[in-house]
Amino acid sequence: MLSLHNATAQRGGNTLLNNVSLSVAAGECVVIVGPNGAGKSSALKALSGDLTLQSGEVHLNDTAIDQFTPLELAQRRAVLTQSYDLAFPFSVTEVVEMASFCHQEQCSKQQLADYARKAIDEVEVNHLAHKCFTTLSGGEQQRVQLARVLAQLSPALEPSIIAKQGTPYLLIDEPTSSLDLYHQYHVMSLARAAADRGAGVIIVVHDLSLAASFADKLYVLKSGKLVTSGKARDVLTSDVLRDVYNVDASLTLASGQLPHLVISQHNDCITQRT
Amino acid sequence: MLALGHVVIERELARKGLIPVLLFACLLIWVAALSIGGVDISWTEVIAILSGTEKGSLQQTILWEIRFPRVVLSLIAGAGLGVCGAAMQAIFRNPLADPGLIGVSSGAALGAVTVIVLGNTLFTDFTSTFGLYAVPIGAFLGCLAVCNFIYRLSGFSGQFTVISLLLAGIAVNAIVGAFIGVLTLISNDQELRDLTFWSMGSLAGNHWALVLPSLIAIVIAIIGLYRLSQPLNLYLLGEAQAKHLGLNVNALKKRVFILTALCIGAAVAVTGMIGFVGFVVPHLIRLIVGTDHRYLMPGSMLLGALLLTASDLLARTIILPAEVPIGLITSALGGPFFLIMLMKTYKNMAK
Repeated sequence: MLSLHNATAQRGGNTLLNNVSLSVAAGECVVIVGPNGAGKSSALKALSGDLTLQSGEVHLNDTAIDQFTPLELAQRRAVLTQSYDLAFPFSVTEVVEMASFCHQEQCSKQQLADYARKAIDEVEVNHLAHKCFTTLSGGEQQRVQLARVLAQLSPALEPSIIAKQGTPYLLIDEPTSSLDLYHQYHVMSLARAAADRGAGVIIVVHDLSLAASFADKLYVLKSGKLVTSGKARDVLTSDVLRDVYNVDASLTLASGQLPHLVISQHNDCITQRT
Repeated sequence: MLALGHVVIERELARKGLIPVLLFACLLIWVAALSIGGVDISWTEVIAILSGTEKGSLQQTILWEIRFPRVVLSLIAGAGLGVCGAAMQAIFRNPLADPGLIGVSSGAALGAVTVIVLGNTLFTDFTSTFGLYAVPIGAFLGCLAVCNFIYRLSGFSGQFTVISLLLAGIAVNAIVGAFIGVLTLISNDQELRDLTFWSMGSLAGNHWALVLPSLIAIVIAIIGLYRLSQPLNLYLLGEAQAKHLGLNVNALKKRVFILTALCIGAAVAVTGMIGFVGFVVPHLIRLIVGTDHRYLMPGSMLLGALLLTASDLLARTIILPAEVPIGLITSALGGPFFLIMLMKTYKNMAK
């Protein structure tokens, strides 16, 4: 279990998180949603150990997160952030293979190279493997970084390692922001697949249709506070959507289709054409 | 963002081939630097002297006492400058960084000049206690002080912003320039002469007793920095990302600064300010083998050795029997190279 207990965080007079508690268990895919500035990324940063809390605690497999060294943390959880500032011309394969760093003592070089190759396959960037990272498009870069993160998580998903150090976690911030439709769903299903293999997965997304399609559990944040949590169909009700997003909309749940959001034509956010 | 070769060439081949080629070139320049000079010694004679078959001649004295320490110094100092340049460019995540530009070298210079001018008056026992090593120790301390300052500066904002660091470099260079100016004013004729020639950079007049401790310090720093190759690769991804991958980022920064201070301090103390080697060398190597520091570091080491030894050979033969300060040669070569890279960078940004 990776969990946040009554977390409060402030920076420069702003409250980023206000008494937020949330958790993700092994095999679970949890999604955090909320409007801009709701504290989604802050919650994810707190869970990955990057944010200093004014009060509250973060626990990873029953140990306070600040008890781990950076290396121990890296062996137990992988993080995909929103932005990267890589300005040096590494090749795609080199970027993905950086994931090997924290597993060098546990795995052989051959195993680590296999994990990297498998991650490149899964994310479908084989054709880019020898290209220079800085020349790729935004969406391609995002997928390559995802491959790196999956390559970091894979060794920790081996049953022998899970037995030794417990459930590994995957934390992803906005993985779909610059992806096309196909890759949005592909990337989310890869995260889902990691949960099915035993990881605890926690994702921040804006797209509520995607969130409802892949989440076991949703957390809705607004202004640093937790509004509600639970299954998509119970959480994303018209009332909550109006309250949190100020939008009249509803979630449709038809058989044979993934859930998606239907937005009413009469909304404050839509300037009516005359 | 920056002007770099945005092509991944046949890296495998380049990575395998570069080290042997550079090693061979270093060997050639080593023999050439031993044989060419005011008194020419043919390379057959060089080999004879080195293998110990020829003894007692003038040539042997020149070779052992003058040229050999000088060539070894230029090889090792060049290697150190190359490796430090690569490490600095990585730690500031900017291919335009250089120990000279961010004020690290001038910190060393201030330390050294302070010892040259004030060594005898201010600390009565300092020069007599440390003798030959007073200047290197002063340079190391000055270097470490600047590194520490820059490290603290980066600590306030939580991370290095490149602009603020380069600006801090300008400020440090200006402050150091002022201090050195004051020290120059109050120095007597002999001290003035010493520090003028020292500040232009020279590999001359260094004998084994003086060179050896600096060489040891530089070699230690080179080995230490080479061992940080993989962490530096990770660090280039971004500070948060490197941390997520299991790297202790603060420890890495600290180590790089201490090793760089050790290396630059030792190099500046015995050779004076030699600019741009640390900037040009990693740049060229990066074009050939890419950014991976496991290849970049050894490549920069060898090319730095090669470049500095070749520059020194040029410096001491071009206007025989006089010598051009080597700092002038490296700056004359490196300055335009820097401007070209800067222009390329802004062209790319404008696109």
